[in-house]
Amino acid sequence: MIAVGMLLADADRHVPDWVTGMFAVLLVLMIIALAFEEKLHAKKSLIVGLFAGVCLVIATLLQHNLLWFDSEGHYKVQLPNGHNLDLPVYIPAIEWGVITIILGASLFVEVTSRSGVFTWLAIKLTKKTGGDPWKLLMAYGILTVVFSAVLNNVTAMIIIGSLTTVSLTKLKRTDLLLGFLLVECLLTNVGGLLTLISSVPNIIVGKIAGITFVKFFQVSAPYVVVATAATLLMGKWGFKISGFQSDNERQLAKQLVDGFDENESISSQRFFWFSVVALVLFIACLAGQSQIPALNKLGMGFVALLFAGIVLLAYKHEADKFYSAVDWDLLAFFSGLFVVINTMEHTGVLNVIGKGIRVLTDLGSGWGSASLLIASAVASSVTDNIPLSAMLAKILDAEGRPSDSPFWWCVIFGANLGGNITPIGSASTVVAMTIIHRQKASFSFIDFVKLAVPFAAMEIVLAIGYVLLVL
Amino acid sequence: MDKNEHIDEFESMFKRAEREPFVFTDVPINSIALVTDGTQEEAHAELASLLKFLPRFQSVSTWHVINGEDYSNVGQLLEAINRHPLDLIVTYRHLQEKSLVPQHSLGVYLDVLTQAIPIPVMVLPGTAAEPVSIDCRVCNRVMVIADHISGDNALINYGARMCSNGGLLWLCHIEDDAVFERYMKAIERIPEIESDQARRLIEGQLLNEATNFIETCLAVLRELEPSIHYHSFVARGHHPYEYRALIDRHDVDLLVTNTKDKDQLAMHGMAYTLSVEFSGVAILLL
Repeated sequence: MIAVGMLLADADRHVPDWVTGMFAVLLVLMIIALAFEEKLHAKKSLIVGLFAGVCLVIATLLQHNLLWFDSEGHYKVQLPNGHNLDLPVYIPAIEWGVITIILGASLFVEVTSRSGVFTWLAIKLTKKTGGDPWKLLMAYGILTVVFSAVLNNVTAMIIIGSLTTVSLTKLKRTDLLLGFLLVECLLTNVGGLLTLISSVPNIIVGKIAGITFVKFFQVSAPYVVVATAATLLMGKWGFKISGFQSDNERQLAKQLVDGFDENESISSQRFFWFSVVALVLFIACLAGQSQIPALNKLGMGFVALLFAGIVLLAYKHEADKFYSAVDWDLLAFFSGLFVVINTMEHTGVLNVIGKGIRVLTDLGSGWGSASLLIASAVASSVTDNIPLSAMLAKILDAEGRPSDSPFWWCVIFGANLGGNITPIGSASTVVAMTIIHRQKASFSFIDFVKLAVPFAAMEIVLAIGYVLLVL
Repeated sequence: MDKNEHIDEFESMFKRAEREPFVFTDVPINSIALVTDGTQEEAHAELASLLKFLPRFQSVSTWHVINGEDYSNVGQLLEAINRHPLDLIVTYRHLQEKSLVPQHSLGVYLDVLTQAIPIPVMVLPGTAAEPVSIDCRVCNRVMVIADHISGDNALINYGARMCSNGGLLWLCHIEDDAVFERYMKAIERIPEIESDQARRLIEGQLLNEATNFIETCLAVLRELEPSIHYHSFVARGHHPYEYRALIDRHDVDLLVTNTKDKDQLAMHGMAYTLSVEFSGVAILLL
């Protein structure tokens, strides 16, 4: 299909400034509406869908043929065999590669988590620590990073946050709960950097930049290891989390954590091992996707959907239950967002933002990278990092940046780590706040910022250093 | 599913994985008071029968025999009991009520002993006026019975302490049908909760908790008290009927049950019913 490429090229077409200005206002209004999603009591998908509809109607009504309809008012996509396909204009605007990865991966995770494999691992590790608070923090921190990388930030935070609440209550150490939850939610965003499919900004930026799964992991893994260790040590020091002081304490805690039965959530040993094997193969296929015949052409989205289909076979009679568990709000949000961004491209808004970004990138690889990373982080801390990363990725793509340009990584690091600055910066920090409030603890927005900013600043400084020195 | 539901789902999974630990304690029983309303000679004869019935009491170092001449009212009995540090009181129903035809009660003295004193009380079969002979019996079949057995270490430890070597110990949990149905009726009136699923899941969870705890106990007891044979029974049912069926089916020598609920001054209803209804069986009231 060549239509998308054609649409990207229309930055060269003349669009009146007032039209660009009007659409820029619409974009700002949409970002504000997303920031106040909770206050508006409206789902993201509805907000973005509404703006996508308004943008499409206005762009169609204007006399400038912004959406490139043909003389008969149709939108045609030419296939490689020469046939013209009459498609609604908003369909090619959507990045279907991204949508299929998210849909397939979330279905896969939903089914495999039913096998009890993640809860088994979490409880097993809890018992290995013997209930020692410092070992427990390290174990939960590492698990958070691994789960964020394999699952998604929100599911990782829910699993580890729930276990933290239950185990610290059992150990009668609820005084440490706040410190644990905070460190864990900060680590979800660090772990979210580990692989190409660990977070939505990674998928969007990675796909648009053309970064492979293996390359992504090779670049991000060293940073994730260092940032995780630093966050854990800072958490230990900041929240005064120490090991046991006496043998009596050690024995009592061991007895309590030994009371957990890791096999409780495993309903079927067969499905448990089937899920473990499927998980390993899924990661292996994603890693080798560019080298595996057929999969290298069908893409990562197909790999995700294929594995979702394979694991769903284990629940073939109740597959509909898993379909209903998919976050359709998120998928509809993405679809609407891509339509809005596409319209912004046609109307020259991205071009204008790109000029602003170019001021930063023109500072050179040093200052430019640092400025872009900080700007992305700050913007991500107060608004949704998905539109931000999608827009920045489109802009960098339009500038023709190669896939090894450090600027892609500035967007990836900034969009992920910025979520650690405020409790609304990422979905996992929102979950952490929910867990804290469920324990009847009074912990405000400002309280979170006061405690989290030193951690976030340290992680961002480490990221800047990493981009400047290593990439 | 929203965030709260998702968090709740995982919290429930981890809570379900928690196992109530069982801590074995060899319950110290060194000082026992035998309270009767007969003469001193009769009391000593009863003590001899008791030692045959409960061979494990032969290691008890101090016996205090309080007979009918030592008290004539509740105050005097309490005073006599409080004079010594005691681990257990052994007595009969309806002390000092020979002139009455006792029905549907334990008698004034036993009522007070079970409520006012924290020491466990063993009630021998029959009444003080018409005791059921224990001469030919040995306490070989002990049944620990509860409607909330999970975590009740004391109840099980006492059960194991009373059972003779080579005897049988039953650990039984009966989930009260009446209470369960009352909550189910409330759930059936809540449209947001699917009634059949709630019934199945709640019943399963309640019985699983008891089964898991009993399994934990049995694993420990089999290692530490290998001379005793163990059995378990977990079900939901009508309390007095189920208890009677169990006692009759297994020809129980001693029933061990809890008497006191937290925040409840009077003896709790089921223990009272057991003590009154099953007057032919020795009962240890904790």
